[in-house]
Amino acid sequence: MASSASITGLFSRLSLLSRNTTTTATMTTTTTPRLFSTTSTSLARKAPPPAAGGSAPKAARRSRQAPKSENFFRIRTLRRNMFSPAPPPLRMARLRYLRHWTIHRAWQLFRRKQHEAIEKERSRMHAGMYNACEELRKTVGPGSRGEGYLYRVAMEKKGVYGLEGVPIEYARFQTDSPAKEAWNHDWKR
Amino acid sequence: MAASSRGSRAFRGIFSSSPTICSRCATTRFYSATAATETKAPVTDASPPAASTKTPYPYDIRSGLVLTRPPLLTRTLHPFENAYFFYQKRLEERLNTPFITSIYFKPDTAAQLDWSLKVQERGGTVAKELGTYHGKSSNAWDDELKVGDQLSSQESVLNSLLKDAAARVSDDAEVIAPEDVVPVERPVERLSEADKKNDVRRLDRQMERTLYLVVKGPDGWGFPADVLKDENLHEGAKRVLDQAAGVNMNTWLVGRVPVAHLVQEPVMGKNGEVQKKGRKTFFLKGRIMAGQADLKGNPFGYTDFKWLTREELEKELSPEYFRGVRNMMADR
Amino acid sequence: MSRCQAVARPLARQLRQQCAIRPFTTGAARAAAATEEVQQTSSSAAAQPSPLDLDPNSVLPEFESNLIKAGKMPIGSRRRRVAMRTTANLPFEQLPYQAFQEARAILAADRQEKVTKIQEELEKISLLEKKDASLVKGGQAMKDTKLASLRRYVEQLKIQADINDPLVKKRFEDGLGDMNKPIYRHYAERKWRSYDYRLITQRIKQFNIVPDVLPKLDPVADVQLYFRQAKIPPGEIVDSLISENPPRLRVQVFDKGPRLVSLVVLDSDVPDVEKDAFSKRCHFLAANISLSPSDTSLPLSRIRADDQLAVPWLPPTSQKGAPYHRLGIYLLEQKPDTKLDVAKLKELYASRDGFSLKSFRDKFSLTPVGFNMFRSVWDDNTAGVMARHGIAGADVEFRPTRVHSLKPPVKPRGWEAKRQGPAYRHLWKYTKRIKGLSNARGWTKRR
Repeated sequence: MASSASITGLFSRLSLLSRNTTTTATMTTTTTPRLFSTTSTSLARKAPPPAAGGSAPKAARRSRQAPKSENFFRIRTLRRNMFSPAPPPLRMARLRYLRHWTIHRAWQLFRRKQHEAIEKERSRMHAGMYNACEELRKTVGPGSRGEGYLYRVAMEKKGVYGLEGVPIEYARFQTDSPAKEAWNHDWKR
Repeated sequence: MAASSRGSRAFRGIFSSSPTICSRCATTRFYSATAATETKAPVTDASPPAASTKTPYPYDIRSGLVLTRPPLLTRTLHPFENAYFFYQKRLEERLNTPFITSIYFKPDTAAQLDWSLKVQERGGTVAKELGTYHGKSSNAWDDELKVGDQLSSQESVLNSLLKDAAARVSDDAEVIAPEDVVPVERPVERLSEADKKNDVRRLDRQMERTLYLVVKGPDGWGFPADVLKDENLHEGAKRVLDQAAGVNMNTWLVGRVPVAHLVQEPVMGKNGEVQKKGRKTFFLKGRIMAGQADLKGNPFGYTDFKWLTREELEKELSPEYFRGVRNMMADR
Repeated sequence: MSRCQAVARPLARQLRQQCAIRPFTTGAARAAAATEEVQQTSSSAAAQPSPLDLDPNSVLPEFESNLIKAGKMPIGSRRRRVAMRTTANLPFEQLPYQAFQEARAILAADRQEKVTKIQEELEKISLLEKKDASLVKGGQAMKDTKLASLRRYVEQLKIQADINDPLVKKRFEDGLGDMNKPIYRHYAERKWRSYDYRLITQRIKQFNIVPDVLPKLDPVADVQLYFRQAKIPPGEIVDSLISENPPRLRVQVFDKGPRLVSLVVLDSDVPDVEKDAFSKRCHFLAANISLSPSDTSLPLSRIRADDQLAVPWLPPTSQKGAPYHRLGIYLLEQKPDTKLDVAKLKELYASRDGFSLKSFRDKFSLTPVGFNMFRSVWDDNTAGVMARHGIAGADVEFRPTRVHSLKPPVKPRGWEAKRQGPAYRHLWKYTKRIKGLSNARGWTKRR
């Protein structure tokens, strides 16, 4: 309706113009555009004012047209993919599942054996230390030192931990491949 | 800190000062007092149970050092581990969210062209070490690797990573011709020259294992050790190391506690007197960080040294010696 | 497929089954041969249809139309056909997949360790058995305890040796497991305990078997009830015509060796009008039935021997109006190698009424091991069954005694029901419309 009002308005304006021109130039016989309606345009229905819902799509359109930051799409994609729901579990045929089950059981067993070996190694090392300390406790010390003197000195913790104790600046962790000079044999004090 | 040594002195003090002691104090055991010896001499004997009036202790106390070089390299994976990791990676390919290039690479940059070229060469697979495998295609079910396929080995993983690391597109976003591609420097081999020559004096041999220093003395091969001369165990061990193997080694003695011991019983005569003194050797653990042993000028008569792994030590040392020290040796 | 291949297929299948008995065979050699075959066939398949492509079991998509025109439909999915091309002739445990074969190697090594340990423990057991009890610290009692614990450990090791074998698992799942072997019994017991045991324990609790019939009942054997080929879930109401003939039981015991069991079918809800209570009645009693893990079928109709059947089957019948009768099937294990005197049982329990399972159990030193139950109510066929078997009481109808409530009478509920009186005369056109209350139609009829 708005458009028709504007069209009729346009036509009315054109007709006014043409009438004006015809009045000024009597000689010209311009064909005035005939309007569909005979009612005057001032009586035409006026478009209703935009409703309250109209503001939301407008706001959405505005936000979509707003300039996006440089990383907007990357962040959106990252958010969607990092926090996506978990995928459905794999479904396997019966024999394929049996193979998977076998591999799983073997891996569990393998890891258990690794853990048990570590535990055994630790307890073995501890047993060696414990037995040596027991023997030391019963030892009568060098020279005039009494029984267990060396043991008591060995049990002291002076200088064992802390800044003076462990030389972490020389520590080397294990790597997959050695350095170009794997070991510095020519180190001098 | 020095409470323990004070304790024994205090104990002796109680004895010397007060003639009457309650039975509880008399039988309280401090660190090393065996109940038998103390209750035997409660009040009357104020002097410490010394060797002066009684028979001398029939053992020589010796302090030794087990100098270790811990492993420098990670262990080689078991073939099952390699196969399992590959299997799990292929399963992960079936379950993961897709790789989105636009997150990591800006369009129309050299890096993006380089990436696309490499992915294309791998047949569209993003993963570098899994061969051409698409986890969401209709052939995704065929994810198991066949026996004998070297694709799962550590060597093949390394090669695929090195291949991927080489730049295939120059900074001007031009594809570099295959003959002009600069390959990435390969890491040093895990088996060094010393391994190939089996030079047992070098420390870069058997880098996956722990090496132990053994020296050849008048009694055969063993760890460097010497009789204590009015010093403590750790002081003695340090002295032994400096005198025997030289100072040009960056070493660390791990605490004061002994980790292994060997006891050689004394030879007793018919009347109970000691014909030949026994030996008690207590070994401390040390770690070497740099340097090499040097036996020049050592006062113990050591002529040769070797750095051996646990299995090699088993062959080199005498059985009872090895049994005494075996417990402190790590599996690797 | 070539003629020789077609002939070889059944043979390959036989070999496969034979190979399956050998545990953890490593098939590296055959695997290499298989991969070579694959490479040759794949290169030739690209050119023209190879023999594999004419086999409906392994035809590739591009040659499917050829096969269909020849009149043969491809078998299975395309995925299956591609897999069959490479691995059709191999037994499962020799399939050449790397992770699978490595896993099998690890598990085989572990099995070997367990077997060595079993041998060591068996040697220990034999040494201890030979040793005199006086030499053992703690005497005979300690020796027995030690032997028992060693034997228990050996059983654990036996299960640990086989539990990682995929073929054993598959065989059990297919129902082909030999129950004389401990691993299959272990699997069967685990399966039973995961659902059926829980169900039967729930029924024991729900139907109050435990205080009513026995003070304690924890089933150890799996008892399944079948009436005429149909499996009856525990506690289901069974039509009297169906239960007219004795049922069939399938009993699975989970400990090794044969044993003798007694079977009792007990009706716990026989109404006793004089006492206004319920009594028990024995519907079936048999003893000296031998059961073993591999011997599961127990048809009650086949128990006819004089040294086994004590009280023959009486069809369960419930009179009209009575609540349901709980018919419990109790399996009681006899003491090892002890046979019960069936003649004595006949003499004691021929009159079925007043049967006490507790006294039966105590008198003959039995242990309840298995239980199942069904229910019986009056239905259209019960009169016929009672007539055929001479059971009296078909003409009796029970009526539950009304136990009047001690609560005060309930006031009328509802807006309209509360406003019936003359004070609401002006509302009678609204309130006097309650069906039954206002117009004597419907649920209260004013006679």
